[in-house]
Amino acid sequence: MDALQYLVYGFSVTLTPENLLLCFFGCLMGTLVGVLPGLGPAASISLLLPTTFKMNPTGALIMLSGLLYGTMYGGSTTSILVNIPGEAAAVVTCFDGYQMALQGRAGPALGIAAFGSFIAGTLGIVGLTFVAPPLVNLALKFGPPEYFSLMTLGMTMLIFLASGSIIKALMMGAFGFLLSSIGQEVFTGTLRFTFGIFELYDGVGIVPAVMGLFGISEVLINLEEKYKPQEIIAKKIRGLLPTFRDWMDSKWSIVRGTIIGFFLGSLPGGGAIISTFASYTIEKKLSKHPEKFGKGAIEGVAGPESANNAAVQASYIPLLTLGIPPNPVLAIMMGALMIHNIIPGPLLMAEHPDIFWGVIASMYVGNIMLLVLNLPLIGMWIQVLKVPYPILFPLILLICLIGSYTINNSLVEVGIMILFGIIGYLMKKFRYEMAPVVLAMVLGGMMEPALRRSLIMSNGSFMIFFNRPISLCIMMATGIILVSPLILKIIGKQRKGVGTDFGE
Amino acid sequence: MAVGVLFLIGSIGLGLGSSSEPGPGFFPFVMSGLLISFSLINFIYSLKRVGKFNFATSERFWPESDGIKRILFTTVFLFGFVIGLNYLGFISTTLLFMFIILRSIEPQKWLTVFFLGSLTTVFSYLIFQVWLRSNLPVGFLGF
Repeated sequence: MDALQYLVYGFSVTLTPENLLLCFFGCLMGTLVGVLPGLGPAASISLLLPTTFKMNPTGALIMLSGLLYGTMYGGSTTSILVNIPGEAAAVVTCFDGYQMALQGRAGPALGIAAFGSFIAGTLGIVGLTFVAPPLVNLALKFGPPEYFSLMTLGMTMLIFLASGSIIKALMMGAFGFLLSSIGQEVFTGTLRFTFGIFELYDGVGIVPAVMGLFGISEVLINLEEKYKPQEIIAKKIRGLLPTFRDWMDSKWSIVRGTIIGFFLGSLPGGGAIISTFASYTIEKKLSKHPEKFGKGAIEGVAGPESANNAAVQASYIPLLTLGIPPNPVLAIMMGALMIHNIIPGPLLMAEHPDIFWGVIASMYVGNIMLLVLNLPLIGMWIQVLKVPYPILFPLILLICLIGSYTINNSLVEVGIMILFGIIGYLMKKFRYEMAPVVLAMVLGGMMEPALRRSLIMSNGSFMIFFNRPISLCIMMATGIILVSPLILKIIGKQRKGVGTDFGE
Repeated sequence: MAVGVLFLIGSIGLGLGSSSEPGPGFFPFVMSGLLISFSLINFIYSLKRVGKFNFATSERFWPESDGIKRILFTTVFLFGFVIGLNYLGFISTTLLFMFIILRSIEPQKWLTVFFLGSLTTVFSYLIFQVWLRSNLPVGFLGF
């Protein structure tokens, strides 16, 4: 019952006019970012980061969180109406959502996406509310070796769940770790790879890197093709409420999507994008009429949309309890807290209950706000979609430029961001994944000290990671993931052609 | 195809690795070693694929020349913004940047260019300077 009492306390933090306004603003921005293709949650949270420097940390996190789960709602709108994912976690929604819109069922598709998101999001928060406190107790027993093992597991998961080549993902991981080692070194204060540039003493900033990799590079990719006005299906949308039949068809998809999303989201290295693909695959396999998938099956919208929202809520679990960000977006959230000298981790719940429970409570409120924002006000977002890209992209660029400047008032950071934009563009061209780079950059700063502390504890023996029970379990899980592609390959050879292919 | 980038990343990795000392350099050294070995594996794989690769049927890899122009110019303008910020100050640079980019990359009507360019400049100034008080640079003209 403890959790419930704390939750009531959390609501008392959230339900102040200031925090409610911040929550609303976050949700509004989130939906906007979600609707607009080409701006994902990672880039836009980095953009809003400078605005949080002068807020109190609770308000800051409430707003940024609102933005994050808001994008999950908004992204589906663009997928359904234009067949372009508003952000990466809504790619799957295009498959059936757009088909439904073509058949004149845009209303129910948008409706089920919003309701599914709401149900899954809320269940996800309930899960977060009750899972987080016991995990904190476990996390307090963690020493450097456990942390190192856990971060290894997280990186391994992320790399192996990457959509493209595993070798390329591994390369990107190593590249990110190298980037993380730039700057002053923690133990001896030695400067590494700074080339005498003063701004690099603190390391390569995660925010300019993210803005460049996810913001600028996306614009550059879009500029390859000459702009053509997008066609928006269904100028007027009628019947947003799904029918009884729709509900019957999709109720189990929502439940399954929620469970999948919650599990994949709470694992380090998991996240919203993977959960949508997993949910779609499972829905298609379990369906009585798999041939309808890709031709406008409502389950294909309900499942993945539920999964990504549950995953987002669950991804707060590793951050708030262990202090390990499971994906790049949460890594920036962590950055937002660290600016206020608050280190997320097992002690957060005890030392800053206002942040911990305030943010969780704000998520319940935010989900209700989003339901209102996304159903009755859907017409407004359709207007937003009509803003042509030639007008939009200079704005995105400008915001990135100013945003990266204001972090430290330094032009070097702006330069770093542009450089990362170019690197990101080339990476996209050559099909390298961004996520491993960013996560490795963040985790590198934590993994290296953990590794070296562990080695000091054990006098240089690597066996320390296998002697301690918790660490051993985590390492074994990592090992299984490492071998799994090999096993899958062997099974795959035995029965060729089985499995779902999503193409690119 | 990926060879160019591979060599680039690989060579950076080599350079970083050799400069490391035992203590602080341990972690970067291991990582650069990993990066180099993964690059090599990937390189070998891509060599194998080159033989089977059919250039005639495959999709065009680099965008057509217009697209390359748009990307190159945008990048140049981005760097121009950084340099401009140093000398001209925030307001003039932003105004110029918006005018140039709106007019040149995907040309808009002059009216749109002036209206939108001025509007964004004023708004971004209000948000970042007046509301958030982040010291935006002032140019030699005094604004």
